[in-house]
Amino acid sequence: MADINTINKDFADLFEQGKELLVNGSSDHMNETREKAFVQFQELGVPTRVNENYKYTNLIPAFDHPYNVNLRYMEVDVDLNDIFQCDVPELDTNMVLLTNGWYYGENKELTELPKGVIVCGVQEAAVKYPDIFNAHYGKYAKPDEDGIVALNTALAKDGLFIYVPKGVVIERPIQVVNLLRSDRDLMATQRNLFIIEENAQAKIIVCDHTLTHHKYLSNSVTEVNVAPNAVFDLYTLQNQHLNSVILNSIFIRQDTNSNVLTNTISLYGGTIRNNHHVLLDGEHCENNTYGMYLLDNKQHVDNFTSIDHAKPNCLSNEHFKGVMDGEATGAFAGRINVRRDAQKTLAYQSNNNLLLSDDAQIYTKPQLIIDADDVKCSHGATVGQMDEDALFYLRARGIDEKEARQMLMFAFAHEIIEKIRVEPLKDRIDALVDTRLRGEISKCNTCAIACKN
Amino acid sequence: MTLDINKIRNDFPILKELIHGKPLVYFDNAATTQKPRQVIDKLIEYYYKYNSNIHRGVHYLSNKSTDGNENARIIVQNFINAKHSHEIIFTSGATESVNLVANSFGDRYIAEGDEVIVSELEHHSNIVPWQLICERKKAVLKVLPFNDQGELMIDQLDDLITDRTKIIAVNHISNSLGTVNPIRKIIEIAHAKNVRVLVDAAQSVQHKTIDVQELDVDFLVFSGHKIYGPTGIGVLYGKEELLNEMPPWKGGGEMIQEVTFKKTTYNELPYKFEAGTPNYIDAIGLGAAIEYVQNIGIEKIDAYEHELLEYATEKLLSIEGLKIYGTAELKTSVISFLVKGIHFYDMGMLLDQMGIAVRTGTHCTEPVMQHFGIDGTVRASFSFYNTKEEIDVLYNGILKVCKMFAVK
Repeated sequence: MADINTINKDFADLFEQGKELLVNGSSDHMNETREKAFVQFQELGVPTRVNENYKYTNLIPAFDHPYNVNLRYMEVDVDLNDIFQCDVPELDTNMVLLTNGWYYGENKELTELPKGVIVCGVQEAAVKYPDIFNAHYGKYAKPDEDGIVALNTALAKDGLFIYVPKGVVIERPIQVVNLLRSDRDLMATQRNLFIIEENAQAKIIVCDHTLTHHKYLSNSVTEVNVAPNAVFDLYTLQNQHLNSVILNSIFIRQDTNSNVLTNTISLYGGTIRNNHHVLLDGEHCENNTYGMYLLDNKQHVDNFTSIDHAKPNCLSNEHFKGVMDGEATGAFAGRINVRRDAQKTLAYQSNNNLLLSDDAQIYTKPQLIIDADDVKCSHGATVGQMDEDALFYLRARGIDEKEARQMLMFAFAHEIIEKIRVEPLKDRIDALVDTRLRGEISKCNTCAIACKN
Repeated sequence: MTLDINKIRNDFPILKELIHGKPLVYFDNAATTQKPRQVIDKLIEYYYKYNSNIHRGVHYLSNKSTDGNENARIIVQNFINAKHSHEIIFTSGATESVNLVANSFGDRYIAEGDEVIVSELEHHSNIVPWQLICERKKAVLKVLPFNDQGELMIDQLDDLITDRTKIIAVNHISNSLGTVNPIRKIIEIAHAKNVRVLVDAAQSVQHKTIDVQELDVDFLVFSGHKIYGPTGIGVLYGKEELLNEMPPWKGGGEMIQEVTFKKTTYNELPYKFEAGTPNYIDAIGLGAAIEYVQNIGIEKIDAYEHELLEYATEKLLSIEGLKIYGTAELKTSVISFLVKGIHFYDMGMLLDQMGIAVRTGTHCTEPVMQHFGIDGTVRASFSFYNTKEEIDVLYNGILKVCKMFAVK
């Protein structure tokens, strides 16, 4: 087993040796950001469990593997018909495809979108729309605080760029399918930038998928800026195989009177670490951060959340729920920071966990840092087993035990699903979760690819 | 004659520190106490001027250190009124002292089917060592329960003791509830049936006068860092005849008389139980701490801390939804509490941001928490360098936290 120093040195070597490929095709702004981040990565390195924020997720085994890294776009043979395993029936979406972290070259022009909306690769956006791009790229993510984010910024070449101009309302959600497909074990770096301008509205649905059985490590960073009065939804469906590692960091900055809802649903994946960072940077913002994780086998999911109330009169509401079976381990850390001037803050948080086996474990840790006086919070963390009384109630009405358990688990999970603001997606995820809890198949039930999850 | 609190506070440099930009309010004295300048200076003086390994040297420095160490032993002896200075064994702390007795006394006196009694109020360090020896010897561990006020049900003790009972291990004062236990009575009941008693005084030597001869206690343990002394030093007092009969627990240098590969004969008390290079400078520091406490006067300290306890209890109970766990008639300055609907961890974290240091959790007394059916408490524990003004800060801090946690 390699030690952390070897892993960090390998990345430093990769950065130096791959410099030409990294710089090539990226804009000057991206490359300047890259250089700074590399220095920060050399200081921080890949976070180990000594780092309090990564106490419950050991990344060394995840990184200790001879992955291939694509520093330039590789053609990936994707049969578009295969993509429909993540299609949402009756959900009229604009679909965008990314392969191994890169914007897919064969993506059709999304002509259906309202005028002025831009959807393209990050690399392309950096060159084509430098004014918009440079004003936001690298402004919200914090490579100085997390080695994973620094590594992403240093190696970032491409990802998804979405720009929604002032006053534009996108009715049909944009569906982003992230495919990992390779004939070798692969580490994918993906960098997304979503800019939602004043009074604009957009909903993005992200589905993570693996199409082959190879070992994957995906390190993705998404920056989002939500301008005054804008409304933005981000749904993430994590559905990769058990041999994959997902590192997913989202940084959202909200301006005055904006409304943001994120919902991150982890159905499959070997090791998943989600970093949810929200900065409430204008008054009267509303932020809802939801998440759900359904784990079994030796899966591990760690949700780290940080909600930063920088301005007064904002509401943040956080709710994560998990069902854990087998030898699964999970972690939840909820940090709420209320700055000195952020008076009249409302901050709610809760994390509920259902442990179905003796070996499943959850570490849940709320963390409040409150410097303002006039603040209202509530939060609770619960860890429990199936409610035997409720089980008895159902069985007394002729429902067999297995089905009764299923109903209770489903009801437990449904509380998070019903927060989805896209009706057909809600139904679709209900069905996925029902199937997942039944353990019948371990992939989307419309999947056309038997990828041996 | 009251205490000059300002003068006392000036003796403790750490009390001037700012925490998160606010004056430190240190209410975690049951976990560890702060150190006066007199103790810190003593440690520095020895490291600067006199450091040398003890008992072995023929040179000046070694003699100086040896004298310091043995003088500290005499200070401890007088402090708890032991008959002989060699009944004072220096250990790394109360935990090691209990382990020493459990292992060594257990080795010598506990056999299969015998019994050890602990109380339900004990700190884990006075439970686990006994569990280990009982497991090893196939002996039985029995528990003396406490009532909902946090007082030991002393009337059950007599029935709990059988002719197989060898030792009772009980704390003088509960670290999580503050209850003062009737150890004199416990010792009387035990001795009437030829049962030995170990008293864990980790939470009491800094508050109460202890006279081991008057109590007739068999073993007594405490830690240096809880009585304003350094960390890593503790005391085991044991009656001479018991210590002489008990086998050594650790082998090494210092504890031997003569060594051949065939046979080793052991040194006399106290060295028999002090294998290896002792923590002599911290022992000297402990001596300085005890002298500091004696100079102020333990009765005065106790009286003032009791005033703080009464003031804080009344103040905290006026907060709606606040419940104090541990309401014994006799208590020291420890308040364990919960506010309805607010997790102890949140309370502790938010108080910390106001510069108030309290402890949260089970306080290493899980059985106590299980008794009350709770996961943990917030514990504020006061020392003679604390003030009523600081208690006001705590009171206002709790009110602030209560306001934050409005029901959604």
